[in-house]
Amino acid sequence: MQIASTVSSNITARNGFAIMFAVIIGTVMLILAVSLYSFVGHQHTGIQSIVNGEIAHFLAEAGINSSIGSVREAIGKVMSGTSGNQQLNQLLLNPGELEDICINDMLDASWNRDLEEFAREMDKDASIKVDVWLRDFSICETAPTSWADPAAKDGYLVIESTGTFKNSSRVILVKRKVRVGSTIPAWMGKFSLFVNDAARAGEGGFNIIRNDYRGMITDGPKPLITYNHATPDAPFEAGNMGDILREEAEKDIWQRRGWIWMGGRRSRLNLCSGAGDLGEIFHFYDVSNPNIFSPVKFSTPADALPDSFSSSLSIPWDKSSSSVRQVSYRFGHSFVLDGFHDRSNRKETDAMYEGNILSTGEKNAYSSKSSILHLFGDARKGYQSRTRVFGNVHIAFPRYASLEVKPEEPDVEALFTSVSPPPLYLLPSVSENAWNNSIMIQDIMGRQVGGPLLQSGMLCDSYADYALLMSRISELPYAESYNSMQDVYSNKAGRVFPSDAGILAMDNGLNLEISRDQHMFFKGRPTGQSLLQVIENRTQIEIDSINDFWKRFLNDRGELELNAIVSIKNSRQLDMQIPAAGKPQPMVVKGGGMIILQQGNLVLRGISCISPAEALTLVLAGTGSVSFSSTQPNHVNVVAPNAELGYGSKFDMYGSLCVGSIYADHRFQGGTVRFRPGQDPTTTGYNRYYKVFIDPKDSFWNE
Amino acid sequence: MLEIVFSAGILALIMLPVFMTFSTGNRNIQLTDAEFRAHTAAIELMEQIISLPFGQIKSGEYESDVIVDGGQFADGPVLFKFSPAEDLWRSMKVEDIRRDGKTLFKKVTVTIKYVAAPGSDRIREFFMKTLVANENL
Repeated sequence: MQIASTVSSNITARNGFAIMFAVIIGTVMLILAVSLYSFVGHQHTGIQSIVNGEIAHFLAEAGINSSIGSVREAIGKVMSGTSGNQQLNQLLLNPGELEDICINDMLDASWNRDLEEFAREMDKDASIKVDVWLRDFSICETAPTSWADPAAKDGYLVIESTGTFKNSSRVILVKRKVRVGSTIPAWMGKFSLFVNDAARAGEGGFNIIRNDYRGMITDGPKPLITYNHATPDAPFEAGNMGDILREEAEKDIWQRRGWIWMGGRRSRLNLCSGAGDLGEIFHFYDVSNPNIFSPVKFSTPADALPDSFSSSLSIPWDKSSSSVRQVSYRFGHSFVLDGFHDRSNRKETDAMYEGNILSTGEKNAYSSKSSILHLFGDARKGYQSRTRVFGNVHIAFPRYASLEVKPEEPDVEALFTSVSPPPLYLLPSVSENAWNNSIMIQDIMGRQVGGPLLQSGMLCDSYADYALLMSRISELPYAESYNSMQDVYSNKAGRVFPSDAGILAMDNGLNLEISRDQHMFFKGRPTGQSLLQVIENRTQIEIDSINDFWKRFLNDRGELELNAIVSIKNSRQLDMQIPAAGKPQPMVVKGGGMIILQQGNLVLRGISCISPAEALTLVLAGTGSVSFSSTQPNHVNVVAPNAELGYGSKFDMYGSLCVGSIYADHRFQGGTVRFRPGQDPTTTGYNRYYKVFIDPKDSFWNE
Repeated sequence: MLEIVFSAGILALIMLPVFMTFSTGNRNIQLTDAEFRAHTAAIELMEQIISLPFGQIKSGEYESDVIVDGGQFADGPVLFKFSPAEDLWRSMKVEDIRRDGKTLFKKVTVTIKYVAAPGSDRIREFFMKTLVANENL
């Protein structure tokens, strides 16, 4: 009974199994069929999309091809300024970051209307659009230790063509590198002269000029004079004489002037004597009129003199040979400063050592020749050009010291003062070995005028005391001449020497700062190598040879139209003459820029910028030389920190000069370097010299 | 027994649309394959034309008898180069789009005729159009 019941239950359980099985199989098959159908449908749609995408791509290409000419033309117009639209230029030259921006509005972007029309003509579902963008711009000179320029930037000009067909879009980008860089050589724009290793020829290597007492050159080498401000005869942006003279008295005038760097070991520049054409006595004295110039006598304060000067001394007078007498005298001390001179109307050579006031030892050490470098301009009013000087550079100048003798007895005093010219008791220079107590100190002309029969030991207990008082060749940091000139310009009463103005002192330039409107361009120690690196990073175009350069950048009229920063490999190491041989002198610069000559020598024969808004900078990256072979003016900056300034023609340069060293020998003809204030990065004039360069080579990107 | 017969009936009812779907899918796969080859052939021809300098793209209508592998394009120096495909027929129309007397674009329309499925007599057509810009303006 129980068994029968179990069998019946199993049979009941098997009922419906076949139906369930059939339904499950059927369902699975249905799902598979629907999936297959759906898959095929998707595949079909996928193929359609691929094809539509291809067509969209072709349309995008057509968009690029049809409009790229118009786009380039529009950009060219805007960049050259011929469109009258300065928006794009201003946008690129604005200091600071530049966000991605579509510049269709700044161009005459009529091409999009046409493209849209043409696309509709092809198919109602087709469209083409071409946009022009500035993208991925970033500031590229950001380190104040080398140069931080807020306007120098790199990025891309992107021509973006979007082709659309049905629901598929394709984008083709044509990118061109855009570089915005200054053609002014970074911090060098603040310097008139930068000599990387000034003392390469030795401490006194620059002192080779034979000049006379008036400061006129007699023969041989000539000086290189730097004018660190806009002189009245500058080729453009000339200074106004009234303004120059008024500003000259400002104690901080150095801030607006071109600076000077004399790097390397200690160097010594012998100051040129006189108030004449090339005399440098204006470092100490007012030279309003060179013809009536007379030196100022500096009196030594009583508290700086030995005790013997504080009371009167009773000494035999110099007329003792006829009448023996003890006379009471008071003494003071004064000195006059002078410059170096080899010749005078009495003596052909070593005139400054005449009379043995200066010692033979000094003659051997200093010679009588003056320096070929005149760093503070010349003696003419408006051309004196004091500025900030960096480096271990000193001026040397003779100091003629004299005793001020005052007899205290009236009859002797009357006798003494009646003599003409007045008695002069110069204190001769003696070496320590030659020092003794009985050196006679007498009137320079050996006259017996009622003065004292004076011996050195009566005034000084030791050589140290005497050395402080005697005539000698003195040295002073060049920078301190600035302070004594300030005393002259401000008509300071009771002048002392060295000046107590204390405005500028010797500065090795470790913490030099160049800034404008809160922006710090440079902070640290400038070096030639870091300057070269900054400049080389600005390279926009590379050229193989000097010949290629001239072919590409001289226009039909033989003018230089550079408008870029160009590096020339010059692997044959040829000299680069500017202008090239056979071309008219001076070469006219219509579009300024920067030429970086990687190797070879630079020979300058005259360069003229047609506008103050154009500047040309020549860079010589390697060792070699920079020389001038013409007296034509050169409106140019030269950056050659590893090269030597060679001898050649006398030259005239308007700009900044940076060289490794200066070759000083009897063939050096000197010249002038005039600072160009418009290039000074601390002024807004500096902003004129940026060049925007759009690479002519395209790179294609598909998105 | 009745249940088995009943189940077979249900299964047959379900399998009828399933087989129809499979059949349609299969035909579609064949069609997609043909269409894909047609698209590829269209792109192959189109790219050969648009890669030519604008001046060499001669306007006109080109039938399948001249658009063959090794054939001359517009009786010029350019020869067509195609992948082998026996059941495809290519034709092309090149038209000028002009403004102010200048040809600014060429409108290129490529037509591919192909057999819908192997063994079928049914012929399908596929069009592909684009523009080629005159770069010389």
